[in-house]
Amino acid sequence: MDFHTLRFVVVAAILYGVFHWAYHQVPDTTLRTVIYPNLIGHSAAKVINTMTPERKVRVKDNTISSNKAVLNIVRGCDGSGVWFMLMAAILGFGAKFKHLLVGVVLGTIAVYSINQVRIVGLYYLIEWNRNYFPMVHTYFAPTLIIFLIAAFFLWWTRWSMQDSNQER
Amino acid sequence: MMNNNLQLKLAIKAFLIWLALSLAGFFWGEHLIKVLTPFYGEVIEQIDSNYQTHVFINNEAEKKVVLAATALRAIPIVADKSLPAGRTIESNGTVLHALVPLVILLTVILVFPLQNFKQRIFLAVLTMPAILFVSALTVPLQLLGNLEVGYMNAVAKYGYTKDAPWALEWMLLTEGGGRWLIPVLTGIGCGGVARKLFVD
Repeated sequence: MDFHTLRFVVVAAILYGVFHWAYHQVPDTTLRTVIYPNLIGHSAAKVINTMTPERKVRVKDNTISSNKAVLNIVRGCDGSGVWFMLMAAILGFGAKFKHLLVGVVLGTIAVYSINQVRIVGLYYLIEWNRNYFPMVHTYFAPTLIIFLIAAFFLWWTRWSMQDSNQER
Repeated sequence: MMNNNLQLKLAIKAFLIWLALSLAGFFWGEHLIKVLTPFYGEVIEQIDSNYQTHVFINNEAEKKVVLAATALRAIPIVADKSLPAGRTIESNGTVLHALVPLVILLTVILVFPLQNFKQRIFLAVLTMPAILFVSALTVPLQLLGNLEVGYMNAVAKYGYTKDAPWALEWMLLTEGGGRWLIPVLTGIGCGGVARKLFVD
């Protein structure tokens, strides 16, 4: 393993640990009553109500509900794990500050958007057939999200390296 | 420098491999996990010598990896309560959940860009130890962590508090996303070693 790869693996692992620790300092109540409804719940409900107005989806704390389905957003289902991974990888890659900033901003938007699509998708899945929920929630969705985030990371690293070479 | 066309090809290849592995895991992954169950038990016994373990897959509709842990000695819960020696307690996790890190690891290994056939062969050889490494850091500790959750609940029921043991802390780390990071970094590490050892 070359030094760059080794440094990347070690730095990313350490940063992930630090992010995880910081995340667990946030009390459950704050996540449930402040962060989840404002950051995830209301925007997901707005998307569902725009696409299917007859659902009349409501948000209370960490719960998105209608007459047809109830979805609880709990710790870990907020995209934090994937965001920590991506940020650890971007920061561990050792790019220039400008590229780092672009990666952090676009990466955050990408993770947030993907997670919102996941939340909305899971709501419709529960509504359609809740038997499929465990399979999609625990198996297909996490690995697909990792694939999408890896694709983003691949694009960002190539862009960063090409841009750096052009500037030389 | 990888051009955009190559990048797109790599992304499509990665997607197809992910899809194939995910479907294979969904339909046949139970067999792989079944093969790994004695290994899970061995890892748990190495980590916590208080138990004799039996790890198996249940027969219910939703397939689960079940840990039946028999206490080899009395395990204190609170001051005057303990789990008696010989008592068996259980914890579990779904088979699909156990497969997630392996699908990610194999996707990374199969997609990792290499320069020659020797590197590919070496990476293939590294795959089995990598599977065992990733498995050891995820499923056994999740099962052990779930047992610890039971102890924490019991302690709370008796009105006491207890520091979370490291197996539980590790389970929280891996369940929060660490079980995705571990196979990604393991796959990259294996690919990096293969590239370094067999340079063109």
